[in-house]
Amino acid sequence: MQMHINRRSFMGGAAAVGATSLAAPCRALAAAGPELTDATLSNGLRVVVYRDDRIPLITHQLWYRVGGGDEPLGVTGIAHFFEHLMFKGTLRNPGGTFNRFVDRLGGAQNAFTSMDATWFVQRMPKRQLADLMALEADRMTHLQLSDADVTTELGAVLEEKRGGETNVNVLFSNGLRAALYPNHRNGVPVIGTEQDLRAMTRDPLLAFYRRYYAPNNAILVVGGDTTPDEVLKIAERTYGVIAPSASLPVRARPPLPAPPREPFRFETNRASTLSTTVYYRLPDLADVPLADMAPLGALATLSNGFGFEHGAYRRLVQGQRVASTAWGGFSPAMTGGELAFGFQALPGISEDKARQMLDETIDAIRTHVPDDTTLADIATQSLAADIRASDSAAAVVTGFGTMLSRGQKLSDYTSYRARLAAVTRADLRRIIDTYMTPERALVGTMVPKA
Amino acid sequence: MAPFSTFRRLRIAIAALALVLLAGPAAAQKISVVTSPGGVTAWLVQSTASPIITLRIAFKGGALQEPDDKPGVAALMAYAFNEGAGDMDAMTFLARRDRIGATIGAQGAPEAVVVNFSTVAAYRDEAFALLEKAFVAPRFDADRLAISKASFRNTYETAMRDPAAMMGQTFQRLLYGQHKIVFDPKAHLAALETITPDDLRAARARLMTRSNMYVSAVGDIDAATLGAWADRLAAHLPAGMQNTPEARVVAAAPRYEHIDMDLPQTLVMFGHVVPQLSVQERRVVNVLDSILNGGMTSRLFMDVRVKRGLVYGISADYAYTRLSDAYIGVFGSAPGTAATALGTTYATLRQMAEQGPTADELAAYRTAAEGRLLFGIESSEGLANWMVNVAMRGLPPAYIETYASELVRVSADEVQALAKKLLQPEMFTVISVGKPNPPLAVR
Repeated sequence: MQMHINRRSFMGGAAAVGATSLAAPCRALAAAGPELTDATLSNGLRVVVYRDDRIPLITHQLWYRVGGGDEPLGVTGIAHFFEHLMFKGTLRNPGGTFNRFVDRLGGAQNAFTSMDATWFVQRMPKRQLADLMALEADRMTHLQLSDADVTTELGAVLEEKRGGETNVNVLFSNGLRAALYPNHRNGVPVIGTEQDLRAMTRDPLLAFYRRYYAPNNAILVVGGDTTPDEVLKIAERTYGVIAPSASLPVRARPPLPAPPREPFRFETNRASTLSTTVYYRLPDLADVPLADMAPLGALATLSNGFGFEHGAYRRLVQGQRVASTAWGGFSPAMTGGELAFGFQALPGISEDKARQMLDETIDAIRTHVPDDTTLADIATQSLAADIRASDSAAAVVTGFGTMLSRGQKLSDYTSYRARLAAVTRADLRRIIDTYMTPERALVGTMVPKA
Repeated sequence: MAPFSTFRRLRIAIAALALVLLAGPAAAQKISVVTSPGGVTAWLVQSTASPIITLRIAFKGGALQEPDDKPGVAALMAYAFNEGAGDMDAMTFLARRDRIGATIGAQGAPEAVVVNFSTVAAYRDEAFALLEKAFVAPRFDADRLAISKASFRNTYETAMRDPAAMMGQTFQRLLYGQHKIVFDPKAHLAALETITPDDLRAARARLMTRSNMYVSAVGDIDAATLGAWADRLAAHLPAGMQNTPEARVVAAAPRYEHIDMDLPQTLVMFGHVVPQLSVQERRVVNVLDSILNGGMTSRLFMDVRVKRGLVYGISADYAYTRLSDAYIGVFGSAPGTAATALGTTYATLRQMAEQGPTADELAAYRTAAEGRLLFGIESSEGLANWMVNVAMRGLPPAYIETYASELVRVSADEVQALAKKLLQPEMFTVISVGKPNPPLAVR
């Protein structure tokens, strides 16, 4: 196959940061943004290379654009189950050959499945990158799967599911999502239902594999001590020779169900105190304007931190002293997504009182939009946190994979600091009015049983 | 949502760190022992590769040195470390810290109170000024104490209700009896109500002193600056510490206890107290642990999960404090398969004790060791922790610098001899939580 590589390079941070609200030292640091190369092979494989040569290590991640959210109800859990089955070996590299290769080099590997993606991760010394890429490319299309492999691995997956369900917070979260997204895939955990998992057999699993595991449905992100030329050269002769899938389905997600009106209440003798959270359901990621993303992140951060007196933490934990902890959160996703505010009450606080506290907190957040100084502090804080996080090439490329696999642009990642620094009070006012509305809201409460 | 659980992460990370400073490009990472003008010793790995400075200031003693009637006071005192200083109340202090993205906090761990500090180099003076303030003029405000007590109460109450936590506590009690290393949330909860700001001041004066202070630093800081910083911090500490004598744990007879609970999975812990290992044996045990459960090709992972699908995650390894040495394992399996999973685990451990590692396993360990050394360098935090822990154990930097070469010299005979000592299922104390059916056969 002839290769036509479309690539471009750019520096992430330098152009991005010019905002005056950043403190001077941070502005200087921000100029050293990520050095990135973004290319696409002619068979459709997207390749992103992030160079960081401080340590002779590489992080290699292959992301497939398929996750729990792409499964119809009735076959929930197939994406995650298949993630496990990808470790079963191929004709050329049977059984644990790949695992032995990684272990012998002292590398580390794992794989993950979310609602929006399935990804395979290796961190290794940089030598033998070519062998690693050949192994990962090999299992994109040559997996060997026996009935016994399926049966045995089903056992491990069911144990993973049961293990989660011994934790009361997982039980709460599962119930909450079912209430937040009734009769929708979002309402079932990524790992799926036991009934669906038990019904899975080899042939439909392999059909799933052939449909989704293809170069034109994948994104390769490599970070660390390597060069774009090296990665692209190896990618061409490993991944590049794999034919694209001609029958790749369009990622059409079913529309979100109408939000439920009834709050979700979970009573358990395994909780010691009451905790309650209001979840505002967001539109699908593609329908949230880019201009709203940084203000949503800032709004959630304000409630987590110590710097804003009307945020949930300052108000409930420090100010009124009615909660032991309080939080804000922003979780975008291809389908749905949530902006959330909540707290864990001190012992003895009744459900009625907690409900009132939550209402008043939301009112305070809606009413008291922070001033420019507070906003500038948030931007500085986030930038410093970013610099610390980018100390690990693995963390940086995971950010790329997460965003690209759910349809965001690489520039959405590299421009985030600048967009955060530019957030104004008017932006916050707009997103509060748009997203913090009663029709989007569902309250979930965990109540201790005496 | 991963095929490989995080049980093993910590040990793997430590193994990786252990190898950081040897061979190849990593050899550039040299530990300097810095002695400040004021006489404070600090271990330093200076590097300008990333614009971050990480410090660990550890005070040997920790919760094991708490007064018997105030369990939890070390943790509470450490928690209050960043809750305001001088003219800054807690919110002012924390907001300033967060604004510059610094880490300033402390943990009251069983063996030490450890202060964590890290900052982007661009803000180092501002960040260090905050750290110094926390050393010079801690506030221990009563209102903040009330707030942190609420948080601790939640932690203790949750530990009394969470199945995995209940299992861990009960297992500790079976293994170590009434020894102080056993975490008892009920006793902590009762003591919590009695702890006052004065108790925090007393705990601080006793647990954070110049004579039990150990410092490590990694990153963009030179020896002179580090020395000056160490002096400025030490200047505000009391000189010495009267240590309460500490007794080692005593091995008890094997026991089995079951906590009946309606759970989808049966949780199992097993293990025993072992004689204190020598420095060399602690190197050997790294090899043994790695071969038994150090990755996706390790024996337990293969036998219990890959071949039989009985568990999602399983771990079994050597764990020690300055007062205890033990071998401890844990897994979860469905009620119907928990007994089989335990039997399979025992068989795997016995086989290792009887036959030792294969030549292939040992060879794989050696090549892996060469690669793993790189991982530790990625994390300044990990390297700083490791240095301060080695320093607290009274070992020299050479221990770290030769660790990797010592590890790859470990022989099959050494591994098997240690396996015989540690892997004795007939000596294991076992605890299960759930509704296993059939019941576990623990001997």
